[in-house]
Amino acid sequence: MSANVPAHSTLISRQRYLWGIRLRMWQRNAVDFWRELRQRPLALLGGIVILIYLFMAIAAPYLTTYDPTRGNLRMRLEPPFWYPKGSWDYPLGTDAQGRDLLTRIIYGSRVSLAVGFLAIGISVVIGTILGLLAGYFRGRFDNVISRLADLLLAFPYLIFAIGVMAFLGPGFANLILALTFKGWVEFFRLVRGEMLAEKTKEYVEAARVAGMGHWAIIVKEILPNIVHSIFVLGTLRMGHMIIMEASLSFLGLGVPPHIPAWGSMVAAGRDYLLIAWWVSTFPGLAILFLVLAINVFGEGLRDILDPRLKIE
Amino acid sequence: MSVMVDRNTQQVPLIEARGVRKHFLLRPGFLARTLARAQTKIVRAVDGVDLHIWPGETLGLVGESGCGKTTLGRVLTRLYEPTAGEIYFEGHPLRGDKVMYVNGDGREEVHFYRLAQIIFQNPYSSLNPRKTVRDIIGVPLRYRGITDPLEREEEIVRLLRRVGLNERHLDAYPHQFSGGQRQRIGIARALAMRPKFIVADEPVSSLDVSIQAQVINLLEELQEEYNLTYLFIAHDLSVIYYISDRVAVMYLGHIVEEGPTDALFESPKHPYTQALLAAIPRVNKKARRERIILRGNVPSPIDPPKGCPFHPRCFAKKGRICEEEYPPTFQVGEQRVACWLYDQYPVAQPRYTTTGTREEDHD
Amino acid sequence: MSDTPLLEIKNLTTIYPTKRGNVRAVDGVDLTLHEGEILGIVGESGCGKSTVLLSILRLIRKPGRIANGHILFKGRDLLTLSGREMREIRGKEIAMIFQDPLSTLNPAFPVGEQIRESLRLHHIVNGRLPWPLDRAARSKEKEIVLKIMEEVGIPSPMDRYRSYPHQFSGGMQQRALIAIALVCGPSLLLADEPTTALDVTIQAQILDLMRRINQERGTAIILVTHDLGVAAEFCDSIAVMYAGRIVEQGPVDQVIGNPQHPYTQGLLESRPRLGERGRRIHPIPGNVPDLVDLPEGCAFAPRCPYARPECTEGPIPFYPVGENGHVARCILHA
Repeated sequence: MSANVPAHSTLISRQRYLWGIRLRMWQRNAVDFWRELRQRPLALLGGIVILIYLFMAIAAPYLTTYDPTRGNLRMRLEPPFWYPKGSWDYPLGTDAQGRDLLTRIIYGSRVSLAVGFLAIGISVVIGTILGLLAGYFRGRFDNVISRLADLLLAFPYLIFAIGVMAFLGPGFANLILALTFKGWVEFFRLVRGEMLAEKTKEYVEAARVAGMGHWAIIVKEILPNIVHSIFVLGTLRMGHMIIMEASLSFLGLGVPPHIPAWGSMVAAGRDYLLIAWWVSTFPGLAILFLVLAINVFGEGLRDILDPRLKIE
Repeated sequence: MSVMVDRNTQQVPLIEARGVRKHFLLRPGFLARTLARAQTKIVRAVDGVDLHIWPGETLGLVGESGCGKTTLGRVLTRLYEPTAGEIYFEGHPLRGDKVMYVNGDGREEVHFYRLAQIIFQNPYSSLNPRKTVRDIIGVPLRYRGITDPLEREEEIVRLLRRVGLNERHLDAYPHQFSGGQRQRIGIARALAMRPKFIVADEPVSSLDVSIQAQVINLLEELQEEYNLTYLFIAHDLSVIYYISDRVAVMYLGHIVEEGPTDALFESPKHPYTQALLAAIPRVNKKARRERIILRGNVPSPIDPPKGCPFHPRCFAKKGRICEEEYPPTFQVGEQRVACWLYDQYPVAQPRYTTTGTREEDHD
Repeated sequence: MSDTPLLEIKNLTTIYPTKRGNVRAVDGVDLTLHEGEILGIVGESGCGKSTVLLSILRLIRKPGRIANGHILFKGRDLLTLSGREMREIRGKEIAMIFQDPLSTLNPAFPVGEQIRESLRLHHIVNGRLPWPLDRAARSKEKEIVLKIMEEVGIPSPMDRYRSYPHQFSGGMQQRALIAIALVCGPSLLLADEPTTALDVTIQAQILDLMRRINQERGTAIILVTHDLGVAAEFCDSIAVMYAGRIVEQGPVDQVIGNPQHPYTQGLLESRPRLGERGRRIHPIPGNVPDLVDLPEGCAFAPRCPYARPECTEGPIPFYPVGENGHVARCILHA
């Protein structure tokens, strides 16, 4: 990989040469990552489970023919397939409205995953941008935002979200808003802290003395060193977001009731726990396995990304 | 070793600092200030420095922690803006981070970073761990104006070879290199800009003894080849002795003594310099000096004492005047010393005449 | 000095297993130290000098282990002692100070308390009541602490007793460390690069203090350093280490004044020397070898200007050179 491309190449092939280098670097990193992941079977399992859920969410209409919102009132509270009364028509049974539980769980994954990704995504973006600016430029901006962050941090997350949802009313967008309202704070603090630490390092001074402007330094020099922490925290917090969504839905403050969501399914099944335990339990298990998978994968991710960078 | 410049030739120093100060403010938080009346403290890192460096020479800057040498090095590369004072490059003052640069083709205003670069002390944190060697050295090349990526690549390889590495290392990351190799990468990066002046901030302090020698030799070769001027900052006096043409000794933000290396090491005039030289552990028994053990600790630049900054620890203190007034700089033989013990000598005059410092007046 | 050595290290080998193989950080090291003697171990980073000290106190962290050898302290082999017996030795008979005082001192406790902790751990002051109640014992302990703070040169010990480490300067912190090490009156002090992080004038003060302690208390010292100048001025005898082995050893005047091993010569050549301005420095070419992959025979051979085929054939023993026990591990002197 050295400079032995003939001197009279055209501009196009020169660019292609450099992109070729970049591509090969990406490939090398991807191969390394895969190898590390294979050495951690638990994290790998977590990753696979997450992919299964993702698949469920995307391919939902193709996986089941039932309508998740309308049920057959004559088939209320049917038990799962291994019961004598159960059948493979409704493998996990039905709920109080005769809706197939498996179908609702599959469709419910859409809500949970969408909320998880969006709430985290927006929190990360807001928190990161504010953190980078506050950490790099300091001054009054930093003071104000940091105090705001401290203020928000003082509220317990769930109570806060309940308050916001009660105020705004149910709805998907409102839910995301409620979650990100406080969600960005953690990322802000993380990014700001890392920025403060990196800013003192000499490679930043070296970039300045090479002529780089402040924005270029923030984005091209410092941010790549912070990205891995953001990634790890984001992955771990996503499980948190999903649980928040489930809790809010359980309390009836999440998405509107006709949209299947695991939390509200658990709530709806409360009245029937003794006679039809499956109505609450299976949605609950769906939440459990997804969050568990995310946590385990996130920890593996932290393991893979961190020590490699600390080799000195 | 570089050539001593004859002062009779009316040659202008490459770098000149006049009255440079750099103060940092420590401001307590809002609440501490209003409720507890906490004061803003001033760290006087550099507190009135005059120095000059001739083209092609190496000026060694020594001092202990807290003396301000690192800060001064940063100010002279414009990483910090001086709180007060002026900096001149070949007689032209720096305006902001730009300066007038005259060469054979004419004159233009350039960013100072095209002329002055810096090599850092810490080989671990001075290279971005997420960047390859190609990117690290490529950045200054891009800002020098080499936009064509392949031309850049050739130049990077050339620089790498010059510092003793090769193109196999282009795609590697810093953590794959040893300390000495990382310093070489840092040197290549500094050279990429083709500067005239390089501040070497303790470039060998973190390296093993045998690697230090390799890097020192490399820096000397590069100076010869590219006609560079160095400000070599170090606390290791043996290295300073070896590589410097002239030496300046700093204490608490001031230069207390300055002069040609041989003269200064042979007969140091300032009491601090004497103590410093006496404290160096020496292999060569004959070169060992009588121990001067200084009392007390290196003071903090937040609260410097009134008068001569060294007087609380000075073993040769003259009297009240040391405590009350900061001494002027006296010319003692070839050395310039800021110490009341020498007030029978003439006050040092600037050893050069500047032919006007305004762009309009120049030639 | 009596005839039985205070410390005798015989054939010490300490290994760190890594993914790529075993690293022989210390490879068959022999050292002898008498009461009141100052021994310097000199070498570059990675040569194993710090590991020797850690091995003496058996502070090698797993998966590293001491694979072989005997460490005889006052006649007892330290490697055969139980954990409890070792704990009685550490701090009381053999003490150690490290390079960076700020990370060795506990930032959460006052300095005086940390010095006293050493006394307490070794029950130097014995009372009859349980410790929290025994006022007499506690005040006696405090007295001892204040005395030693004065001895190491910490001004106004009464006020400084309650100060925290971060309120001390670098030199003061190192003095505090020395106080902790000495308060129980050990006969051997191990010092791992104690002055490397300090300014040169402070370094002079600390070395002066250590010399005073050696003279007044008769404490033997093993000083590990990479600075030949420090070793030359401070030590009675020196051992030069390379890649886990001692390559040259002997009285300091002999080793420094008349070095016989090419590595020692190379080290001395590659340092600028004050008073000899025109002298060029000659770096040792190449790099320190990978300790996993050591060649047969002399580890320095690849970089040695006098290397011969016999150098890499088999293990090289010590050959006597010069006087007074000056030896070098080099076949040039066979």
